[in-house]
Amino acid sequence: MNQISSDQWKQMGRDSFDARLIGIIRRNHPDQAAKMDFTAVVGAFHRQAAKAQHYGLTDEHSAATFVYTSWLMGEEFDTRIPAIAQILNDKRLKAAEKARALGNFSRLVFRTLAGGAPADAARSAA
Amino acid sequence: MSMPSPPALGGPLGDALAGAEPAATQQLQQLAAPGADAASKAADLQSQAEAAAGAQAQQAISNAQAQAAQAQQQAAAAQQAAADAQGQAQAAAGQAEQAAAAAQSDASSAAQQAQAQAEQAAAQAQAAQDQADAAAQAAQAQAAQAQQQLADAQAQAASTADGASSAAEAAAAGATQDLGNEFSSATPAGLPAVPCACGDCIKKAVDPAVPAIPGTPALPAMPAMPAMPAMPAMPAMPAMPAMPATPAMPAMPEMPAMPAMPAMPAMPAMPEMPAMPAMPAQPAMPAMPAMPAANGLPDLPATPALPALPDMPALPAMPALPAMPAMPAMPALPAMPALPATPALPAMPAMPAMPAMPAMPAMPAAPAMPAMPAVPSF
Repeated sequence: MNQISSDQWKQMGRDSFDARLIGIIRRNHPDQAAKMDFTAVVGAFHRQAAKAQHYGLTDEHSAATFVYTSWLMGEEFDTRIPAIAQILNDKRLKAAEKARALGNFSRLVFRTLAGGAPADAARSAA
Repeated sequence: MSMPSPPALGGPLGDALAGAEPAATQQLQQLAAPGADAASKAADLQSQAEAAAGAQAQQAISNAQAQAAQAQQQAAAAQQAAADAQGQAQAAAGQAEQAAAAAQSDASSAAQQAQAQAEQAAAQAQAAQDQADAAAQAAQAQAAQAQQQLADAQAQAASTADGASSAAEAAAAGATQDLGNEFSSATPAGLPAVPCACGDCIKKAVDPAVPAIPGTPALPAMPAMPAMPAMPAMPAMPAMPAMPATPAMPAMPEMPAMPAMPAMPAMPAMPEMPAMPAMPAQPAMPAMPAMPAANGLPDLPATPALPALPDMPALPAMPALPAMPAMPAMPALPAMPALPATPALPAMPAMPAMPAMPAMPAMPAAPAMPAMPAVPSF
């Protein structure tokens, strides 16, 4: 009977993680994905996944959210953006709370850049 | 906040920054500024996102409602105009009929002229009524379309309460939703996803605050596991001493040659056998009588008795066999040389003592389970 070694198992996990994340990017950002060389991006994905582990984002959903946010914002987003750095470095916040904060921040950034209702105005309107 | 766009990552933000208005910079700086603490900043981001999404959806509903109200007002005005035109047409038709009746009883030229005018007025009234009917139908169609738009806007706002203001925001929102669907909060990062038939059970992390069975109390949160003490490093094993060389085996002594076997003595000749006595002659057989013709078989003549055989002479005695010469004794085997003693193996070095394992921290006691509500009896 064939057996899967530990290294093969980890490689399968990395391949699956990369493939699903690339699929989501291609589906939701077809224009930017068409211009990308994903073989070159995979290496950056692995570096970002290692950083996610460092911030306590050990489950695959929060780790994938971190890697996706880095794809949106840039490789050093975790240190360049003070609010994100503050949230990621807090030991009391759970991984799911950090991932949710990353998603909210990304949406608010793109809403603001698109000239949407400012966050404070939107909050008062609601 | 400085946001350069590296080549591999950060493309979407770079594209959005390229088309951003300068006024957005200040809002971005507020967004990127840290809060009093991480938890309050995360909560602030959450409330802003929810408020922005709610305001967006509410704005879409308000726009649709205004359009629907305007269309309904136009439809009502058109229906009123149609009703007025219909009343005027009916009045004109009545006057025309009266004028025509008067003209028939009074055939003067003035009456004929009045009848012609009345018919013309009735025709104009009918045309006005037709136009009013068409306008009312168009207004009703517009009102129905506005109502449909309002329903669509409300349905969209209800289904996507997080309506996006731009394509980039919509893409980020869609990707965030996909991340929640395709990546599990319960699976450690870096492991292959476990295939599941239902496709839904592994994607959601178990939330202990949500009771699995409606009506039962939620499970209390499990206390955090204490950190495992680090294992002390194992001491290195001492190197094994080299094995001594095995001494060579001494050569075996030559075997002595075997002595020749003595010749076997010749066998004595066997004595001649005595001649066998001649056999006595057989008596002649009597002739067979002739067969009588179909008169039964005649009796057979008696067979004469055979003469007795003479006794066989006794066999001469066999001469005794000469004794076999004795075999020469085998020479003694030379003694085997003694094997050289094998050198003793060097003693193994003693194993270093294992460092003691640090004691495990005690597990915090699990909180008591809340009492289950009594199940009502049926």
